Amino acid sequence: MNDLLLDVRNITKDFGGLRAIDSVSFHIKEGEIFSIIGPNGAGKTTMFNMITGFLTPTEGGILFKDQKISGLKPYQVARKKIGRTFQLTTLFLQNTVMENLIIGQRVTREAGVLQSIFGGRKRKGRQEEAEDRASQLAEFVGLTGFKDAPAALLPHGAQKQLSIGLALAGGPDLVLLDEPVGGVDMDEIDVIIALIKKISGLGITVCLIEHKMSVVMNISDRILALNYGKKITEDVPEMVCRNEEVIKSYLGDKYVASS
Amino acid sequence: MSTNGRKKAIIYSLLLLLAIAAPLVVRDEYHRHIMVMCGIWVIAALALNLILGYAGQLNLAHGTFFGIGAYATGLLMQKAGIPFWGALPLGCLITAFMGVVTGIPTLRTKGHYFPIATMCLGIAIYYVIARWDDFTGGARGLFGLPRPEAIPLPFGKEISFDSTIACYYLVLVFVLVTIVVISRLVRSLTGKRLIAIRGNEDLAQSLGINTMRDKVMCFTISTFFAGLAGGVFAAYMGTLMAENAHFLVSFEMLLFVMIGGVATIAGPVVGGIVIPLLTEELQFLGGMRLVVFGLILILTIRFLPFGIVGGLRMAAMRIAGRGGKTQ
Repeated sequence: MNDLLLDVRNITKDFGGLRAIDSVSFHIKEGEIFSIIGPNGAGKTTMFNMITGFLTPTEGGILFKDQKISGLKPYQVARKKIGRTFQLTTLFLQNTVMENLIIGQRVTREAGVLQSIFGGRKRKGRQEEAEDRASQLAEFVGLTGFKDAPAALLPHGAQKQLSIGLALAGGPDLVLLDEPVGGVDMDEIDVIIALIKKISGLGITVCLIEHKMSVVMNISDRILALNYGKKITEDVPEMVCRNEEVIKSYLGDKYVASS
Repeated sequence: MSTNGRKKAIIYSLLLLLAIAAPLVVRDEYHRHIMVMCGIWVIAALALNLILGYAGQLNLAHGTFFGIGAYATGLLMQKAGIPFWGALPLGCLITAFMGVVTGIPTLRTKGHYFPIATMCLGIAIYYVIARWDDFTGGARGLFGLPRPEAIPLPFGKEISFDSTIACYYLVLVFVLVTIVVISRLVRSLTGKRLIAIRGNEDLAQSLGINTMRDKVMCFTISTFFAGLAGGVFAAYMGTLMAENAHFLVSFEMLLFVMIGGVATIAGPVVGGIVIPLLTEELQFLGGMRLVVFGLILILTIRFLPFGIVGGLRMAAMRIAGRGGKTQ
């Protein structure tokens, strides 16, 4: 339970003269739900982009299962079994739910060019396998009724569910969810929270960026708080919401009173 | 599903029969010549559609790769004395090699920068071909390229390619090969990866797709078939002009793909036949026919974003009264 899954060591990221992340260290343990909080511009998404290879840290390193992953390309990080969603819900909008979930799977990446052109029966078997798994994924994220709907026509909440399904399609050990309930209405928030718990129930480690404190405080095992690119604290929710600096920078007076 | 498949098989067989019978019905040489040219444009348009329609990368050097294939095949035949049947595959490989070498730097660019980069590439290569007098014949071009050598058959017979009709069937075979290879590719998992890259490159990467490798692979195959079209063109025409490698050729091919229907297999086939035929029929308009094409293109993009084939599919779907999909 307490095995170290992701180890971020003294990460710094500069964009020209701007220091977006300033020597931040934290770790994520296997099986936990870990949240990153902080006001706008705190560096949360920058942190996600560094973990997933979309940005290279200026200094410091990131270890996943004791292997260095900083400096790898995004597709290489994904193949180490790290899935992610994007802050602006990112889907293959022209494709259906099923097509999205088929594209997202590992098998999709493994057929070579020559096999694609000359391959026969084996190819068909794999395609059927991918369809079965896509069906299971659609059911898991709660989109059974939308299987053949184009992603572009889904309601916003369902698009969020599909983006999480895509992040899960590669069979990840760690999923990073960038504001999974951002812009989603109240009923749908509960659906997505339940989904996150279900993912965690499968033994998949979850790391999320979230603004809604009620969500973060309820489901997180531990929380990292960032402000202006610096780490304020990394602790269990009960301690984080008592931390004065966190309250000052982010939570407001309400949480001081309730604690 | 199976009845649908059977219906498709019947339609394809009929179209193939039509293609085989066409030159027997059309008896004058001039129109047979246009039919050969249509076949060559269809191959080139299918190749452009692979990189544009499926991987979503607008390669504005496509016409230049057609020219590279034509010149490579022509020069191998004329200067190295290699027979057509050896020069053509070598010409395709040289074109594909140029595709890899130029694709690796240009495909790193995103958005509008890829079309800009490839257009610059096309212009640069055109001037190399047009000015390298000692090697390519410069503005004068290459003359007297041999036709494909006859294929020997048992009992002392042979298939010779002296007649236009024989060249037509040769081109038809190449068209069919191109259709089979490209349609298998785009329907495979590799094709799904390409469509994913077109849909959203960042998302594709986050799913573990090596987008750069797939784009380069797709670009290479696309340029290979552009080279095939060029090589066949060189041997069929017997002469090559620098104009055949002009960067504006890319735009003609783009016209075939856009009007025929992007991201479908049938689209480039339709576009590669309809537009050259229309060009001939509108010959009497002179320069004004370009205005007509401009108008057709604007109307197509406005009302039929997926071209003639996309429009027909929409109509069929409405008649059938059920949802369908474009690839």
